[in-house]
Amino acid sequence: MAAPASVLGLFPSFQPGFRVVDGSDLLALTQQLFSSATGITAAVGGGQTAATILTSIINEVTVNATAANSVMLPAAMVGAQVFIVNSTTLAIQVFGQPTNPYTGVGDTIILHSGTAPVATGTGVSQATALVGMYTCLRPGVWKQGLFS
Amino acid sequence: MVAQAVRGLFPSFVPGDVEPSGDDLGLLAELLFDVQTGIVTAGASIVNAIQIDNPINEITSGGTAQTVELPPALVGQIIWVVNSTTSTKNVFACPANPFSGKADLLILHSVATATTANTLQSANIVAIYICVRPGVWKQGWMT
Repeated sequence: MAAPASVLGLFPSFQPGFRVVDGSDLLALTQQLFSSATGITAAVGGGQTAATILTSIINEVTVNATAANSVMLPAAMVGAQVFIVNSTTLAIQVFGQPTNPYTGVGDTIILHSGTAPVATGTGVSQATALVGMYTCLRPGVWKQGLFS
Repeated sequence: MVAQAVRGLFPSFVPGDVEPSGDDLGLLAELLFDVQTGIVTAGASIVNAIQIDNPINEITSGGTAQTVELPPALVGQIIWVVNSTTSTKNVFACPANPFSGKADLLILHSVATATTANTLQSANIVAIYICVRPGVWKQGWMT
């Protein structure tokens, strides 16, 4: 199984003491903190299989032709936080990865108002104009928080 | 051309074995953890707006609809504003962003697309401002 399953594992050259570090690790750090994408289209037809895959930390969905068209979070790594800004007039459906390479099973999402993960193929809704914050608390599991 | 994204602020972060600039590391830490509390608003127009420079900010005093101003919008930046007062505050985007040469705009928390130069933030609300594209902040209210 591929490693790492935690964001902290992305920076192998960050070791105690004075040292030269791998600049790629620094770039990976800024990717995890500040990467951003706009102009994202939620996949027509909805569903997990064809959902538009998000690859940044801040993601603005601007095209959503039909309610419940879909996007997919990156593979859930412990410590990761992903923001989704729904700048469309309809709700989007947010899915986890159907097969997380770190866990070997589908990622799940705990609804903002719930405590139990929703099945990976079901996903969760994010209404128009809301900002969703998805935090990976444990391997393969996202927790949804919403900003009104 | 000046960077319009946070990721462009760290010139020493390049692939390969590097000794990163302490300036870049310091800036990174500031962008993540710098806090300003005790912000006191002073007036109700943008001329009086208190400049916000940190990622985490707490307004602790000031009158209704008095003003603060967000920093120039850089893509990927997240600003938290805690309104710890009993009155609504008025949050302005930067009127002259040095990175874009234009006025920044805001998308209100309850609005999907329309932009504006300023927006209200109610008493006791924690708001997040996310720069989603050059010159544009999206406001969200923590509920």
